[in-house]
Amino acid sequence: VAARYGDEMSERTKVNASITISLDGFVVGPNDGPGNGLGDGGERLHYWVFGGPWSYAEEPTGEATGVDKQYLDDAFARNGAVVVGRNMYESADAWGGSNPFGVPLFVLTHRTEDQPAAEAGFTFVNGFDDAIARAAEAAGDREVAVGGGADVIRQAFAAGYVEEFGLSIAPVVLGGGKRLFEGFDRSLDLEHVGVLQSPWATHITYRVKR
Amino acid sequence: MSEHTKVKADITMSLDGYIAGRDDRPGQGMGEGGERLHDWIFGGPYDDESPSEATGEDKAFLDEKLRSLGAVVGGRSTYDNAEAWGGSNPYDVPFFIVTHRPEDAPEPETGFTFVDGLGDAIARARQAAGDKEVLVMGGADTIRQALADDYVDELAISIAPVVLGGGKRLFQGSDRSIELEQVNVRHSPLATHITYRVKR
Repeated sequence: VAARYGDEMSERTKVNASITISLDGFVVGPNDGPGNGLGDGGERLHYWVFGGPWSYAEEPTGEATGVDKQYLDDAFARNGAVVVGRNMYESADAWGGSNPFGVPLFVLTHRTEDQPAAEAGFTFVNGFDDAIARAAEAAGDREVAVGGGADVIRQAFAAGYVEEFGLSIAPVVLGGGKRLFEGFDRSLDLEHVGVLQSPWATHITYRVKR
Repeated sequence: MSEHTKVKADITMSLDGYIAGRDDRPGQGMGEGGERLHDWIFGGPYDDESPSEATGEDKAFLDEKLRSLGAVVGGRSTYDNAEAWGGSNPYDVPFFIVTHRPEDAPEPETGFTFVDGLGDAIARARQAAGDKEVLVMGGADTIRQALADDYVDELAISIAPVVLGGGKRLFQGSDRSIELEQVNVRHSPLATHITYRVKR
């Protein structure tokens, strides 16, 4: 898939996507934005990332534990580059100004002139195919991860890039916010690969059938 | 009968949160492409010619549910879309159908009891369930209402490995936040069954 964008890439680079949703399908609660990245009440989506309850009122200090840690570690080990959307980058306040992923991070945006200094570790790219192609190049023999937000994941599905999909479902009904599959009107068949469950989330891994 | 008779709700949804595909109606109860939601109940892709049964973890999940079942509550549109399950209650226990038109009630020997209003249906189901549990089996609107009215103690969601791209959403128009606690997960190639306790 990604390999079609460059003959110099001899091996086909695998693209995965993963995201956390509430049981009612929201990736953020209402009113998400800078300083409130996961929206109102949305911290509960990411309890699993920090090993338990936290809130925007107080910086989270905990770390993932148990199977949550295993799930994250596995992602870090497989991913050679990450692609995220500009909104997610803004909502996350640019992760405090430096790329937290340990691998090249490509930010999809129409305003590439806002590109921060190179040492921040973010590369702004205009255009989805370009972002995936550059990420594939950077990933070497590892995978490209599409990290969100919802719109970018929908775009990745619609363009047929996603081979593996990791869905973490937090045990909460948010009652509002942004839906992962809002406006997505295509049907996809997936294959169940595996499941991990901690008290804070159920992580289901799927392979997308072609 | 007891106020403490446990009430469960369970339903299958797609990854994108639909419990039926587009255009669900009598003769096409699961909507367009929605049959895939229930592959797990039939042990694989549903085939009218050779219907088969749930296997492995899917069967364990179903067996567990049936063991504790004392009475069932379902919505009228689910009843109509399922064409009254061919005219007889598919469960071995009393089945209460929530409807605004109780005068449409079929003969008692069909095993269906029509009740006007969810509250009454739950009360009658609790009475009928004895020391077993009440199951709210759908549809989406009935489950949403049961959650909103705080009847549900346990919610089991079976997630089928399919994105439907349209249809009826379980949580459409529901704006309440609900805290849940995971009780259990079972999975097969055809579904992931997550059981939640509703926190109060």
